[in-house]
Parts: sequence; structure tokens; C-alpha cells
Amino acid sequence: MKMEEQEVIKDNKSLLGKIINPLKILLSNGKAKAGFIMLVALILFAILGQFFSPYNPTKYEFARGMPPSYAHLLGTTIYGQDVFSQLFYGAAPTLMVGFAVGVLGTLISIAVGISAGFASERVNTVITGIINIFLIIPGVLLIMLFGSFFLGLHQSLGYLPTILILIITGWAFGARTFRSITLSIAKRDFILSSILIGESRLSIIFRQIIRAIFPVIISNFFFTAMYGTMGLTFVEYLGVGNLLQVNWGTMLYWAINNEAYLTGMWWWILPPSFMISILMFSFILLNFGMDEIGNPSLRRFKSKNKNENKKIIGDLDVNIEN
Amino acid sequence: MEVNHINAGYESENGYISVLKDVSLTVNRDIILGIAGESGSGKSTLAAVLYNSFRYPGTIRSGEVIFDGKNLLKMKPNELRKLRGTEISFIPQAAMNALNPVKKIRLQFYDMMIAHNIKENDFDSKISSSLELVRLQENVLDNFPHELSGGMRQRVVIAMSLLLSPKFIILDEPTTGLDVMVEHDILLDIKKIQRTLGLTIVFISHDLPILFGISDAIVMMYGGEIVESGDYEDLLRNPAHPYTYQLLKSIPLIGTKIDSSMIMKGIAIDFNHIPHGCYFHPRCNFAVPKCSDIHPELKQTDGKTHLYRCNRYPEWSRNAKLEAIGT
Amino acid sequence: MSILRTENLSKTFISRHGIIAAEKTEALKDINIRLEEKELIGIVGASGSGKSTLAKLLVFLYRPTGGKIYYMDEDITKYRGKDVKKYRKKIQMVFQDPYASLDPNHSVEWHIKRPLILSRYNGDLDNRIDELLDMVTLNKSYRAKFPHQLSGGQRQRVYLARTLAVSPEVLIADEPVSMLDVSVRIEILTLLQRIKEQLGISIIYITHDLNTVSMITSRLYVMHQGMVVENGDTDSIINRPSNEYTRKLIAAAPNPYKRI
Ligand SMILES: Nc1ncnc2c1ncn2[C@@H]1O[C@H](COP(=O)(O)OP(=O)(O)O)[C@@H](O)[C@H]1O
Ligand code: SF4
Ligand SMILES: [Mg+2]
Repeated sequence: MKMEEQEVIKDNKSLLGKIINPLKILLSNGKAKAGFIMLVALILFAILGQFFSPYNPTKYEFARGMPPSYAHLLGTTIYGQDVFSQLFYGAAPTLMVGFAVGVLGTLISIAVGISAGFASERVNTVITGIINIFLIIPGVLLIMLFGSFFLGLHQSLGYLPTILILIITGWAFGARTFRSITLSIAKRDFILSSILIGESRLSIIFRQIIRAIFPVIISNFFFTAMYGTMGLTFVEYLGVGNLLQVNWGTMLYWAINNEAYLTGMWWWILPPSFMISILMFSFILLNFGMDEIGNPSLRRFKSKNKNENKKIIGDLDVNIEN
Repeated sequence: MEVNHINAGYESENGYISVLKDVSLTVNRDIILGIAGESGSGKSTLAAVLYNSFRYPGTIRSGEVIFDGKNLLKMKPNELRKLRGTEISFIPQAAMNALNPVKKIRLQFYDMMIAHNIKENDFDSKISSSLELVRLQENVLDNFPHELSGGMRQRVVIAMSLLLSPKFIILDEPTTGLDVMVEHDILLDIKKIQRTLGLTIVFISHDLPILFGISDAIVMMYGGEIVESGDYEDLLRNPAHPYTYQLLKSIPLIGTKIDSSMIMKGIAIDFNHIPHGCYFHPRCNFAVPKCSDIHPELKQTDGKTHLYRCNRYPEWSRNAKLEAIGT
Repeated sequence: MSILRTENLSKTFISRHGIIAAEKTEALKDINIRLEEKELIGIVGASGSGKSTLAKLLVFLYRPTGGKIYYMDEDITKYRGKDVKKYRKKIQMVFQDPYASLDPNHSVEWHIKRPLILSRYNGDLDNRIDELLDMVTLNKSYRAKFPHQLSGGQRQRVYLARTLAVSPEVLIADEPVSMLDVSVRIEILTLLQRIKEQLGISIIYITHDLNTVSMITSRLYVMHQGMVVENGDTDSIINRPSNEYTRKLIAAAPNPYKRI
């Protein structure tokens, strides 16, 4: 299987091939495929939402707290906004924040983590110290700290402050992961070999380490993106976000704040919760799928006579005893 | 133990890959049976099948393993569980690296006895007698696996397998990765334990020198088939299959100088591309054209117990002897 | 003039448990070995006797805690940075585990091309790669293969080609065959011998196996617990070992004709 992957990639040196082949590998895994389809659907939803949202999502122009109807597919909020328009229009910023935090946070984690894992002892100690400081200080505190610092700038900068806060509070976990795998890879013979033949540190990092940890990078990206999306909600919740923006985070914030779940306004609280869950779920599926692709021993193959095996082999959970 | 017509392999993306092909063998009581072959010849697969611990993606297509009159492969889980450890035990390849790293050795011994409902009063006596067999001091019990050397860990694993006094033990590459001194000591101990307790041992290794040194009978595997089997001495003095002959010749020995005729050409078989005819023909020094067409059956030599699978025996062996005299 | 020589070379590892408690392990004590030009010598010893530590000291993957290393009679013990890089062009190491020493993400070609580029090889790269593969008895078709498509013996040969691409003068082979099947060991050993004879590279062959070392080396150092306990001409050590430990090693050497 692996052999074939490599060969397929080698045959297709064109740019198109470079994009399509990894995609084929991705789609060969059931979980990754499901996650991918969900994510693509969400992205389409978000793009369409920018152009076709039925009403202005921020205007308070309708009857308040109305249940779903033909005119208002998901009803209206207690302030008289159209919930569906909010959901539709708010998809893009939600996804955008998630991805931005995922990409930028992962980049920072990689840079910091790998340089800590593959630098001289002294640099390693210093950087590890910094990572630990960020890990020890509770995220809530960091968000409050940086949040209040950025608060004054909010209006003009749009989502930038929120993204920055989430990156600052979200990179350290990944950095610690990258540091520890880099440390273990750096001791492997194939890296020592490169040191012996005279490769520079940078060359080893870019040519070998990044490739070796690529599956972890991808999985870290989804993890951080997940943090970004969830973070959008609790940044609002801690009162350091901009509550006038429309996204699934602020929607949830207002819904919960107005006790929509107590007043029976399920149409206000369920849609954003549902959408966030779907997004999380697609991230998780992609993450698991990637793990399986990177780690073939987790894979299961299709078998025509699996039942037959079961019969002969008997119980599958007896451990090999010595 | 009697093994009949085992066919087993692995499920893969490209479908089922057949590894063991119609493997039948008999393990007599009170001997060490050596199973030899290069890595990837199907030895570990066979070991797992013998213990019925072959798991997905591994698949057993057909065959039976008769142990004490019963088919192991058809046993119920709880029957198997009762048998394992007490009648038959298995030390898989690299088991010494598979000890639980966060548990002291003592607890790992206890766990095993608890699993078999041994009375608590017997714990210590059982442990100390099995440690004595492998010449370990009792203080290893209070160590974690990583605090022990490779040789000691291997001894611990052997002691565990002896704990419930089974009569039949399967050892897969028990000394691979250890250095020659430690290996030698452990082999001596295995032999001694086998002789004094009257055990039956299936000893699997790719390392011909030690395998021939320790076994009473030997089975040579190539490409998932048995290509030769018999008494160790017959195989050593009069190999009937060129594979055995060429392997024995390629063994580095003290006091000889290197010689390119010792090189075994080609590489071990690839189960995705099995050659036609005799599986060994691409690497055989004695192959003739018919070898790439005719797949040889397992035949008997004059001695009743010596089996081989070659189209050209004893012809090739005479040629080899002539050559040896010529040079 | 010896090409490589050590003088009372020592290495003590300090492993820390917590802040204060430290454990000292003396891995090497006063090692004196020398390697002449175009010579193939052996270092034998059980695992833990310090063989790999010695190998790693000689290629500067470790720093000694005592003693000196001389390359061509120049004291190189204190070399740093650029000097180390220059020195490593002269001396290369082959690792024990061929399943760990090649990068699984790169092709055979990459493994041989990188050292050629780094050493600024100024001929035709493609030809040179084929030449090196040929030297280790692999044909061109192996260039595009990846490590997982190769057997252990083939990997070790690719690795040898990688080190040869640096054009070293000394090769340190740390148990290059102990992970391989008995049937392919001879092939790699023949190759080492050919590398010595045809390319004039001096080789230190490190092993725990007296069988293989006696087949190809002219001189031998026997190591035990971090010290050299016996050294001299290979044949005379094997025939008339003077040290108890050496005798044990000889007795333990696997032999199919000897009953255990
Ligand atoms: N988990 C697995 N999945 C697929 N193929 C396997 C697996 N384990 C072993 N094999 C294949 O089975 C064949 C025999 O392997 P094994 O029994 O381990 O041989 P040996 O013990 O002689 O080294 C090899 O070709 C190997 O690639
Ligand atoms: S059948 Fe032919 S190829 Fe096969 S082992 Fe015998 S002589 Fe060699
Ligand atoms: Mg095996």
C-alpha cells in the first residue's frame, strides 16, 4: 500500500498531481473522507452565507422571540434579529477565526517546538521555560490579560484581536508536543547520519524533521483550529471579545445570556450549538483519519470472510500470555 | 503436538496474502524442535498459529493444531485461557521489550498467577522456583523492567513462561538482539531446563548457528513452506535441500577467512511475488530449467524422518561434493 | 604515522536524577587504540563494554571526558564547529540498525545525493550516484526506491554508499551486520573488505561476534567493561588468547557444529 502511494506521487510531478494525490490518499480513509465532506459543506455554507443571507443579521427589525416560520426559518432572537441570517452570515467569520488560529498557532508551535527540540542545550532550556510559563498560567487569565489590552482597539481591527488572543493562549500546547517528538527524532540514527555527512541544522529541520512529523502537524492544526472555534465562544463569554460581531460564538453568548434555554427559545440556542458541534466533529474525524493514514497499524482492511476468521480464532481479546 | 495442513496469511489492501502454505509437522515429546529460515520466511506467523494467538490482519484459512488430542484452533476462549501458561506457553518475538514498563517485575508475576486462580500462599514458592531455573536473584522482583539488562529481561520472560510449569513452550527468537556471551548463557540454561524438566520446546530463530547448536530436530522454512525437516545431524551433515546447504555455507566461523563463494545470492522471498516452480529457484546454485516450472513435493530420503522439497536431490548434492573436492 | 589514534581516551556519563543526585557511569577508561592507513581492524566486546561509545567519540557525536584523539598525528580533541565539520569529511560511521539509519521519507537517490552536494562534488552527480551504487553491488533501479522497500542487507549497502559519497578516509562500522540475517552477513563483510582494498579506506569494524571479526580483520582489540583487555594480531589472539574474557568470547561464538 505504502509502496503504491509513493509510486503514485512519483509518477505525477505536475502541480495538479501534487494536489490531487494527497487528496486521494486522504479520501481513501473513511473517517477522513466523512470529515472532509462535512468540512467542505460547511465552507460552502459559509461562502454562500456572505452573499445570500435573507436579512441583515445585525438589524433589530422584526418581532421579538418568534418561533420558526416560513419568513424566519429559525425564528428571531429576543432582540428581533433573524436567527437564520445570523447563522448563515456568521459561518464565515467563525470558520475564518478557527482556521486562522489553526494555521498561525500551528506555525508558531512548529517554530518554537522544533527549535527547542533541536537547538543547543541552552536554547532548549530557555525556550522550554517559556513554553512552560504559557502552559502553567491558566488560559482564562491570559485571555483576560491580553483581552483587556486589545479591547480598546477592537472596533477598527475586526477579528484580529480575537485571533491574536487565541493564538497567544493556544500555541504552547502544540509547541510542547513538537518539542518532545523533535527531541526523540533528533536522537534517531538517520538524523545523526545527516549530522555526520555535514547537513546544517536548518537543512535537517526542513528536509527531514518536518517531513517526519507531518502527520502530527496536521493533527495539531485541527486541534488548534478546534480550540480557535471554541475559543471564539469563551472569549466572548469572558467579556473580552467584540459582542457586536456576528458569529456562532456571539450567537451562543447572547442566547445563553438571555437564558434562551429556560424561556424555551430552542431555535436561538440549538442552531449555533449544532453547527459548532458539526464543525468540531468534522475536525475530529479528519484528525483521527490522519492518524490512521500516518499509522497503518490502526487500519482495518475489507475482508470477505471475516466471520470465518472470527469463528476459528475465537476470542479476540485474550492477550498473549507469557 | 501435531500440526496439519495450515494455510494462513494476512489481509491487506490488495487482498489476502498467503504466507503459510500447507504446513504440517509433528512435534515429538521431550525434544527441542528448531524452526529455521531467514526473516520473513513465515516463522513468527507459524509460532502465533501454534499458540492460536494469530490475530487480525492475520487470518487462518484452514488447518488444525492438535495438542493433547484437541484442536487448539477450535477451542473456546475460556478453554484456551486455562490451557495457556499451564500446559503450553509462548514467548513472542521481542517479548522482553514488551514487559509492562511501569510495573515492578513482582507485580507482573502476581498478575499472571491471579489470572490463573493460583492460591496466594503459593505465589512466593512458585516465583522462587522459576527464578532459580533461570538463575536470577530474587531482588530482580523489585525492579522495573528498564532497570534490568536485556539478558536479565529475557530471563525474566522465560521465568514467567515457566511459572505455571507448562510442558510445552514456544520460543520465538528468544536471543535475538542479545550479544553472543549472554546469548550463549541463556541457550545453555534453556537446554538444561528442557532436559531436567522434560519439556518440549519449539525454538524459532533465523540464526542457524545457534539453532543447529541447540535443536534435536529441525524444520527449515522458505517462502512459508517447509523445505526440509529432520534430525539436526542429518540436516547438518547431509542437507537434502540446497537452501539448507547454502545457508550453512554462509555462516561466518572463527578461523576461516572470508570467501565470496560463501555469499548467499538474492534476497528473501517477497510474498507478493512468489516465483513459479520451486520458490527457491532464483537463489539456488543448483537450479536447472525445470526448477522454474515444477513445484517440488515434500519427499522422504532413505532415512524415514528426513523430508525435503527439491527436484534435484540427491543429484545436486553429489555435484556439490564433487565441486568441494575439486577446489 | 597512524591515521587515527587515541591516547588514554575516557568517557564518563553523568546522569541526573533530580537536581542533586547524580550517577556516574565510566563507559570508557584509558583507551589506547591506533588505526594505520589502509588497515581493517576489529574491536570486539559484549554489549555495554563501551564499543559504541568509542565509535561515537571518534566521530564527535560525543565529547571525551579525558584523553586525546589524534588524526594524522594532529590533536583534534578540542576541535569545535567548522573544524569538526571538516574532520567529519574524513571519517564516517556506519550504524548498527539499518532500519533506523535511513530516513523513511527519502529515496535511495536522495540519501546518496545529499552528501555529494554537501561535499561539492564537481563531476556529474547522476553518474557518481550510479557508480556508488555499483560499488555496493546495487543497480540503478534502486535509485527511486524508498527504505521500506529494501531488505536489511540492501539498506546497509545503501548506507555504505551514502558514507562513501563523502569520500572519507576512515570508516567506523558499529555492528553493521548484527541486525542482519546470518545469510547476508558475509555479503556486507565482503563489501567492507573490498572498500578497504579498492578505495584504500581504513576501517574499524566493531562487533560482539568473534566469528565475523576473525574473518576480515588483521588486528584486534578486545574490550571489556570500558577497557581494552587484549590486543594484537587477530589470528594469534584467536589461537592463543591470553585473557580470560577473550577465552569466554571465543567459547561463546555461535557454531552449528558445536552442541549446546
Ligand atoms: N501484521 C502484518 N501484516 C501484513 N503482513 C505481515 C504482518 N506480519 C508479518 N507479515 C508478513 O508475513 C511474512 C512472514 O513474517 P514473519 O512470520 O514475521 O517471518 P519471520 O518470523 O520469519 O521473520 C512477511 O512477508 C511479513 O511481511
Ligand atoms: S528444486 Fe531446483 S531450484 Fe529448487 S532447490 Fe531443488 S535444485 Fe534448487
Ligand atoms: Mg520473526
